Amino acid sequence: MRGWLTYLFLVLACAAQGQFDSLTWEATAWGQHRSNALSGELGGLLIRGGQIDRTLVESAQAAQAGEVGTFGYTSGVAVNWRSLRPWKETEARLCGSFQFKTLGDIRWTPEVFDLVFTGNVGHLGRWDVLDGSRFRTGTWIQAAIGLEGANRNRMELWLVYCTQSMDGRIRNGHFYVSEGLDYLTGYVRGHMGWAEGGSWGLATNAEWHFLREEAPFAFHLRVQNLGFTVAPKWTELQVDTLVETTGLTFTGPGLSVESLMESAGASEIITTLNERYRFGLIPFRMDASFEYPLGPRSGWDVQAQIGDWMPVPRAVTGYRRAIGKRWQAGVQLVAGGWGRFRPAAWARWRKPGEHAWMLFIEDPLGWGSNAAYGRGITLRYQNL
Amino acid sequence: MKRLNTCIRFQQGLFVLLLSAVAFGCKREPITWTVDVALPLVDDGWSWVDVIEVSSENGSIDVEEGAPAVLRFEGPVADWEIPSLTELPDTIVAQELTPDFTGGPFPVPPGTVLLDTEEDIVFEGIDQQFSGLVLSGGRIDYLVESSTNGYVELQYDFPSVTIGGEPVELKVVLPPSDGVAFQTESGTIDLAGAVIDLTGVSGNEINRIASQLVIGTPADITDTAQVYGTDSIRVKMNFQDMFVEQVGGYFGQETVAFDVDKTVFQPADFPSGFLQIEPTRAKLQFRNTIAADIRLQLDALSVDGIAVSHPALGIPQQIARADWSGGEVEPTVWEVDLLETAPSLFDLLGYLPEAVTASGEALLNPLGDVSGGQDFLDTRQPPQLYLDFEWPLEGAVEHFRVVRSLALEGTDLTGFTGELIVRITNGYPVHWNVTGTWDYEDPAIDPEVFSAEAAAFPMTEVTEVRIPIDEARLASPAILIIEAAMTSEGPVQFTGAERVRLQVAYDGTYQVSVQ
Repeated sequence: MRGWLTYLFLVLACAAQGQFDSLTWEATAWGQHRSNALSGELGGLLIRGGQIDRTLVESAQAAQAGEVGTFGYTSGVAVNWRSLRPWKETEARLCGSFQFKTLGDIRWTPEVFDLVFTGNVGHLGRWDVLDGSRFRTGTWIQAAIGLEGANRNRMELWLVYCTQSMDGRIRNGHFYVSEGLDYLTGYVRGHMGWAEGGSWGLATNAEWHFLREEAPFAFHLRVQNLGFTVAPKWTELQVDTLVETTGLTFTGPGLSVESLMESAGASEIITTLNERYRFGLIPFRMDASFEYPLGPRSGWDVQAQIGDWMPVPRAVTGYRRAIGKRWQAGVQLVAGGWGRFRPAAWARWRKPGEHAWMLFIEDPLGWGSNAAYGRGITLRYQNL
Repeated sequence: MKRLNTCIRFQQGLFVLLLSAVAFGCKREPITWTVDVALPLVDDGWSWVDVIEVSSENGSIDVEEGAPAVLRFEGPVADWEIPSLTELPDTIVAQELTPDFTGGPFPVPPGTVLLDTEEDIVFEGIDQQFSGLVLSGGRIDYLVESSTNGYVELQYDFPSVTIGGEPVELKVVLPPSDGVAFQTESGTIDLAGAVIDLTGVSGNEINRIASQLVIGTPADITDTAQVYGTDSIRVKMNFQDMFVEQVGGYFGQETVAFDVDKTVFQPADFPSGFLQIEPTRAKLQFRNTIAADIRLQLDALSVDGIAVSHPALGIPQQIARADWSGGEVEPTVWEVDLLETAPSLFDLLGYLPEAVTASGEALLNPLGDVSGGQDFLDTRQPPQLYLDFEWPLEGAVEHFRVVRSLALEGTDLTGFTGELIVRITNGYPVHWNVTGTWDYEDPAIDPEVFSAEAAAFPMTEVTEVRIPIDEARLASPAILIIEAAMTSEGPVQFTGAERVRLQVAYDGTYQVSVQ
């Protein structure tokens, strides 16, 4: 599989030979993390380590309320290029990309958060539902080649190498301890799996732009990372266990103190599954954006994004304005994704005919306050 | 060129960013937080059956529910061992072959037999007349030596010793000696499970194993041995550690002491108190499982040194041989009624004595060899003292104290603090006073003493004790001593359905640490 994909990519690369002496390109680096419950301070402690104070936990509980808690992060570097020469006497031109990207998505029920970070004392006599808690991560390196037509409409074929991927999930689960501390029941059905090595795959990117001089607006549609990878060796730990007890007996058949001390630990309730190959979808993303000019130097943008393991679609709306001949800036409101409403701002500076720099800051408060629920930054260089 | 420079600068920046990320990632400390945990840990209980099963290893014991409940015990209380029948003395057999000439060398071609002899190996030091036996364990350590300048073959066959149906044999080929040192070979033959016919070569002897020893030069080695008159070939067989599983023959007239010292209540476990025991049946039986007559005379019976008389004491009892003719033992039983003792044996037992002692002696085959050498013993079914006992669970319990101790190893649980909640529900119609002492090995930690009181059933209130625990206490090895004292208000009747329930829960705080 790996050899076949490499061969295919080399054939396409050879076909593109001769197109690279005249090209334009842009590079983007980005990073963001966001949660609807974990403040920057708590998130930082979870990443860097340290003592988590109970007040931080309580504040996260209050922020999460009764909803599913989410935390997501994404970061990466992307380089896109396109040839300035037409492809074989057509209007199309060769284009391509290289991307390094890492993505993580963690979700938890309020009960799981409470049990993990505060214990079960406040939950005595309550049935805690654990269903739906999940985490998954992945890191991909991608290289692509494709064609770009009029209005920068673009189609690319990606060769994808996934360096690591992991997926864990509690499909069903509950936990209950009686107020009198004389009854306990717990059930978990879930799994945690990971690829033992890198996996290869294919994906496509497509962009379609509606740009008309006669139309007072523009519309853009992008589909990214629509594809799959095949992990050559996938290991999965599965658990499906119910425990129900009023307390252990010291000895005797079934669950007892003696049998627990003689047991081999958690391995007795975990089933290990080793798959020769595992087919997996790459988290794709679809962006649709609409731009409407409010005047000769200002405009209104609306953008919607789905995919990228985001729990809910991400919606952005903003106002932009040109300042002078070289500057352009905008303010935005962002909703959805992994977090709540937050502001964003961006600025673009360009040197006509040469290059442009763009800086996008999501949730500017996140850069100065530990109380914010995330932050994001995108830096882009465009060779014009 | 400008684009190329931009590209290089970009790559350098990316490299610095990645390096920073790696360095940042390495400086991670453990994540710690505290959780409040409350969980049930133990829920166990003790009914009559649980309590009694612990004290009975071999017998059949049960409690029949009723008003009152009846406790029945039927089973062996002591085995009688006769060492002279169960372990054979070690026996060494040595053979030496020397030429009956001087000088030499004389050539001995391959395939020559130098010695071929059949003879009995006699087991010395056995007073009985055994005709056959099965060993549960034992071995032969052998040593073969040769000073001959040529290959020597030795074959020692024991046709009357079989293991798994195959006769035991030893075959050794020794290489030529250098004329200075002996060539030797040694080893061990395991005799576990060996069936041994002790009637010798003739088939009419006793305590003898038939054997055949052949010494010569191997036929399959083309080497002519050069033998001198001073050469010798020696073989030594050492029969060791032979333990008998079954033995037959005539066991002789041996007098064997019959002493039984049975521990009843260990003072460390039962320091004091009184338990009213009034059985309705208490038969003590001697079960003769040997196919040999026994004359048994019990001379004395005592409880912690207090002599107890019984009409059967001091009177020899002729107990006929057991019947093994069907392959299974039909023991012969002699029985005494323990309810006929004076003073009452069970009145004395009520005061929780440490030991009951019986002494006497037994004579095997008091009438001589009446079976014609057909005595038989299977050590897996030895003669036993057997008790058939029935006790209606009714009576008074006065300050009956039971002490149990439990050694606890230290457990490292950082940031652990809280309480063990111990709940006791008493279903017995006796009042309980429980005192616990958690004595730590670490002298810096004071012992934890707690006490609880449980009213007699039907007062069904739950007794609760809270024992503080923390990281330091759990880390120190300790001994937990529980002392329970029971008292009834006069005689009480047990129904057999009584139960004590013990529940332990934990309520406290634990500091989680994730590396």
